[in-house]
Order: sequence, then C-alpha cells, then structure tokens
Amino acid sequence: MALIQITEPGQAVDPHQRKRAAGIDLGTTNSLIASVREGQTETLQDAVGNSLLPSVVHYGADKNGASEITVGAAALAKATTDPMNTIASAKRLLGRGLAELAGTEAAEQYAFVPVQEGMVQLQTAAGSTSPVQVSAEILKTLAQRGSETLGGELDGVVITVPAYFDDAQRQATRDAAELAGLQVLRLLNEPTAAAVAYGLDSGDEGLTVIYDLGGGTFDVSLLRLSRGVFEVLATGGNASLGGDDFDHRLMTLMRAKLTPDLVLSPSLNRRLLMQARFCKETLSTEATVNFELTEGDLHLSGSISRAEFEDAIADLVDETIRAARRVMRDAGLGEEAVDQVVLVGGATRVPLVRAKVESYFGKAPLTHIDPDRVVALGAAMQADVLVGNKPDAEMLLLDVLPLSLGLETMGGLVEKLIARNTPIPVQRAQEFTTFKDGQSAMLIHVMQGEREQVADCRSLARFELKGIPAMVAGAAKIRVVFQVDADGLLSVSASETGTGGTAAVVVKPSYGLSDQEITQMLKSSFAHAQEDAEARMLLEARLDAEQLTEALRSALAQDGEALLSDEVRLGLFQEIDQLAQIAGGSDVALIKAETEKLSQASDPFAALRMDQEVRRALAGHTLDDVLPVESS
Amino acid sequence: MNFSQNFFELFQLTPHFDVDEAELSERFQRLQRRIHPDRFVGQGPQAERLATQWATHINEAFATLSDRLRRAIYLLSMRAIDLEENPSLSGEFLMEQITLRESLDAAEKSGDPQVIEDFIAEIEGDSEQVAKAFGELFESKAYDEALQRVYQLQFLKKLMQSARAAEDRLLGY
Repeated sequence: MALIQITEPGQAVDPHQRKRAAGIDLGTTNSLIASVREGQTETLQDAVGNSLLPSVVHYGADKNGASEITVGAAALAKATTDPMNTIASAKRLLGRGLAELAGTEAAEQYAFVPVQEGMVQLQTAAGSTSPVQVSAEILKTLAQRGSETLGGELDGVVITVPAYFDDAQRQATRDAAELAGLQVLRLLNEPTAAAVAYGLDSGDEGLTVIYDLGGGTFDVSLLRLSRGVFEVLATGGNASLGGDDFDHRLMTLMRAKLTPDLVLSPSLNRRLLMQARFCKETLSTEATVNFELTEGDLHLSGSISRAEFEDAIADLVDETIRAARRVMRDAGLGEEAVDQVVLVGGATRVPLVRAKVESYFGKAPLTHIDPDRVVALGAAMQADVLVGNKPDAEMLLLDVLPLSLGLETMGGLVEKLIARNTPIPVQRAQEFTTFKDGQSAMLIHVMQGEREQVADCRSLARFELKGIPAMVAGAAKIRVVFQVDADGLLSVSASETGTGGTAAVVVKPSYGLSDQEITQMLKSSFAHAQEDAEARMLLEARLDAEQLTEALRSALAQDGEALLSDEVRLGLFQEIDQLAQIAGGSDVALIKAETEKLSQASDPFAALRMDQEVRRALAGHTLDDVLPVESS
Repeated sequence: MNFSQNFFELFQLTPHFDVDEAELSERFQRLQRRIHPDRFVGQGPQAERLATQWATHINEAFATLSDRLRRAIYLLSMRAIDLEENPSLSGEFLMEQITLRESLDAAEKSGDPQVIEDFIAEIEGDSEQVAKAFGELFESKAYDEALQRVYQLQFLKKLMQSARAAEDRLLGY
C-alpha cells in the first residue's frame, strides 16, 4: 500500500539493495528464465547447463499411491512410455474450454475430465489437473532455478504471453503465477519482449516487425522504436498456430508413407511425433531425412524430402504472412516502410518460413539473437527496470489490446466497446437500456474477437445485472464500463445510473479461477504447506504497514509542505506514528485495518503528487520549472 | 485527481484543428514516461491504481487529438456544440453516399481485394478533403457549417469501416 515513490534522475541504486528480478518465457514447447546480472542479461541454466526447460510435466503415482510430479527433461523422457500422464504443450490449453478443443490433437492425446463449463481438466495418475496447475509447476521449477542462481527468493518476475492471447488466456497465466507463489511485475507480450532485447542491444530505431512463430502460437507485431520508447502500433497472429502444427503435418505425411491403415498405439504415436520433430529440425539443413520406428516385430522406415515437407506446411506459413499483411494494414503502413524484421521462436528456423518472410517484406530478417532465448532476455531487461534496479532507465513500453472487446446485443450481434490495437491501459463506457416494461435484470455477455456474430467470438464472461428499478422500456440507463490494465487484463463493471445507481458488478472471465479456488490450491500445494501460515500473515501485514509508513514519511518530507495544509500534514504524521505503534504488536487484523485506514487517508495526497508528476513531465526536467500548484 | 484540464491544455498545445502530430506524439511520450503504471510497479495498489487512471486518461486524450474526426468533435464540444443524433444532410451528399455504397458492394462482388483497396484509398482522399474544409470553417468560426463537415466525416468513417470489413471477409481474416 505504499505511496508513490518518485525516484529523481541521477539517483543510483545501492548495490546491496539490488533486487532479484527475472524474466520468464513460459513457452509451449520450452520455457526459460533470464536475469540481468552485473549489467549482463543472460538465461539461467540448470545444474547440468541447460537453459531450455521442456514445458512438460509428468503426473505419476508411487507404490503407495502418492502423487509424484516431475517437470522438464525428466518428464519428457516419460512421454513415450506414459503418454496419457505426460502433459506437454499445456499452453495451448490455457483458458480453453472442452468444446473449443474438440477435434484437436490434444483431445486425442489426453483424457479430459468431462466438465460442463470452464477450463479443461486433465485426468492423470495423480488425479485431475488443469492447464493452470501444469503451468504453475513449470513456473515453480524455473523460479527455483532463479533463486538458486541469484542467491535468494525472487523479488519479482515478468512473464511473457503471446501478444495474441485473449483475456481468458492472460488471466490463466496470471493465475498460474499466483499458484506458483510468484510476484508478477507485469505480463509482457512476447514480441514486445523480443523488440526490447533487439532494441536495447543494437540501439537501432525505426519501424520494426517482430515475427514470432513459437511452438504453439504465432504473433506478429509492428513497433516504432525511438529513444527507449517501444510503441506497439499493431499486433496480430493466431494463438493456436506454431511449430507443433508443422510436426503434426509432418507426422501425417510420415504415417501416409508407412502403412496408411495401421492403427498406432498411443506410445508409438508419441514416438512418431517425436520423430517428426526431429525430421523437421534436420530438414532445416538437409534436403532429405530418413526415419524409422520399431516396436516389437514392427519395423517401419521411410524418408521425407524438404520439398515434401514444405508442400505440407505451405498453407500454414501463408497464413502467417496474411496475418502480417493485416498488421501492416491496421497500422496504415506499407511493407516498404519497415526498417527491420526480426525473427523469434524456434519454428522460424524452418527455411520456408524465412524465405516467405523475406520475400514479403523485401529484406533479410534479423536472427542474430538466439530465437529461442530472445523473449526471455527482453523480459529480464523489463523486469530489471520494473523492480527498481534502474531508476535512470529511459525505457518505456507502450502496448496495445490485441483483440476487440465488446458486448452481446440484440439479435446475437456483438457491439464493440474497445477496438483491437487500442493502446492500453484504456477505459471505455457505453450506455444500454431496457427493452421491456418493468425489466428488473439485464444479461451482460462480454465478448472478445473481431467478428460480428456472437457465435464467432470468444465468450469471456456472462453475468446478470439485477435490481434495476421497475420502469418503462428504454427508461433505465445501464452503464457498462470496460477497463483494461497495463497487463492487458479486463475488468467489467455495470450499474444502473438513471436512478442513482444501485446494482454494480465487477467480473472476472468465466475461464479464470475464483479467488477461493486459488486459495484452496495454494493451501494444498507443496510450496506453502510447510509454512506457518499465521506467522507469514503477520510478517506480511507488518511489511505492508512499514512500506506504507516509510513511503509516506518520505513523500511528506518531499512534498508535504508544498501540497498540504499544516493541519492535514500533521494529521497524517500522527496517523503514521499510530500505525507504526500498532505494527509493533501482533494483531494481524488490526494492523491490516489501520494500514488500510492510513492508505485511504493518504489517497488525496497521493493523487496530488501524481498530478504534480504530470505537470512536471511537460515542464522540463528540472524541478524549478514546476508550475504553480492548483488544488483539485 | 485533477482531470479538469482540457486535452489541449494537458499536452500544452493551442486548440487548433491542425495539430503537429510529431509534437503531440513527443509530448504524449513524455507524459507516459512519468506516469505509466510501469513506473509504479511494486509500490502498492494505491500507486498502481492512480497511475493506471492517469495513464488511461492520457491515452484517451492522445487518441482523441490524434484522430481527425474525434479531434473535430472535441473542438466543437469545447465550444459547447454537440452532435445531433439524426442530423439533416444535404440531398446531394446523401446521393453521393448511396452511390459510394453501391460501388463498395460492387467492389466486394468483384472478389478482388485490390478493387477494395482502391475504393478505400478513394474514401481516404475524400475524408482528407472534408477534414481540410472543416479546419478552415472552424478557424473562421463558421461552426454550423463545420458541424456539417463532421457529419460527413462520420458517414465516410462508417463507409471506411464497412470497406475494411468487406476486405476482411474477402481475405478470410
């Protein structure tokens, strides 16, 4: 609950106060963690020197039936022998419901728990699990690597998400981080992270296209880079298109070459898929590749040429180029205006991808930062700034909403409230009215997507605004407010304003976890089970109180006399002393209540200081230029 | 917080229709550098909430002033001139609109994205002309006539959106 801490330029951070911050690229196929250490940004390695952690979690049970969870390479090794309990590519399932996944490879691969609504659940030997929990396991493993390498618990992380992730997928990623016990500084879009890594590395300015084809997602973003500002002009993509799809296309091709009628066992199927991935990688440098599979008496072999492979994936690559064309169109710019094109993601190693990107933009794409690591590196740089290690940093990331947000209206149509590519944070409100006499409730259905029909868009949340006073049709005024924060996360509230407004609701997406669910999962999770919950709560309450009193004291010393009357200022000092005294005790509820009270009491002062910041921004960089203070 | 300044005051620009876009963008970035929620991460919910509110306000102001139609409407609203819901437009203009709608339908039926691209370029040219006329009328305080141009710009904008949607359908976006 700290007041605003404003660090003046030139103020260095004491090296002993440097905070431990990291960037995490939670990928479909592999995940990484990176950090800035002694001015160098690097990916952190595990005990045997690997940076990449396969995004695979195995759920097993030991002899006594207790669940055993393994993550990474060890889990991947079990993929062929125990495919049903080895969850890979969970990112493709995040924030997704059963109906959406019907007919996909994932639906064939795993046993989904039949649930009515919400996110899919997977049945494993260790009980049912969700994509959020799978992701949390991966995050925990990386965070542990981070704290071991950096010498203590992480103070904060930046987690990257595909720019084209919708609200439910972003929320699910946030939930996974919370479940893993991580302090999330920001959700950062993957192409923006890559732009940061390239921009800060080269110092190049101008229009930059980031073409990011990962294991399971595709993003393309156009940014303008100038003097440390990374401004996203437009973004597009496909949240379920990636190198995985190349593997599956290749696998289909391989099956056709073997014995087309043969029914493969799940384990042979998984092995064929892994062979397909190997063949894809080999075909990046070779013209043909041979493959073979054996199981018992069965010996299968064949060969694939690069031309055959390229033929099989051409339409997928064309789709990415079409998305790039749309991004250029949304920004109102032609391809010739682009100064540089950057390739990100392992799947951009495929020669056909490089060739098509080069031919569309008419220039050779940049690849000099490892396409597997660049996102994590950029995220680490942002984390270092956000955690406060670089008060002088000029870096500023201005991102956009990837997909339009709207509401269902009469006739199954979607009315857009916020268009895609609108800079965030953003707030928009719209008024609606009742269509029946005496109507007392209204259904509010929040949608995301570009199409006009409800059926073609993503349903994010559905709730009912109740308690509308009885009036004739069209007399009630229902105001719906959409707020998208700097993480790209949406909150919606609705109220009846015509009569003074009684009912108001704030919603989270239907696919997110409720606060109770998160608390329950946290309680049962290993990381927190051993801690004395009460002692921890007291410690946290004290820390919050201390943070607030210290920040407020320093803020008052800086601006108290200029912005506040003596009476208000002295009143705040008194309340600070009071809270400091209470925080010395051990009544958690009282400390929290008093902290909240002081936070509220200091709110007008914090707002005045924020207004002052705005005035200073255009008044030049010296404090002498500050305009006379107006009261609000 | 004090949001009482108008958007031109916020960016310290004089309230004219002709806005120096580079200057506007530069001032927008200077404001966001100070006030973006990224600057207040980890400083508690109060700081992040206030910064988000300010950054939202600055984004809104920037979006308003950098879009010519929104800027025109905003300038008129500063003079207490509000748009009517069902304005009466000249018969000539309405006839033109009908013709343009028909050529958009024809462009979509042609199945050729380039035909729609050309159509969009034509509308863009028309909009520029109307915007220029608005600017001159507004500066000479002919607000009633300026308002008519705003209605025309609204029509053209809707037409442009329909053309984009037709293009989307054609390209399978």
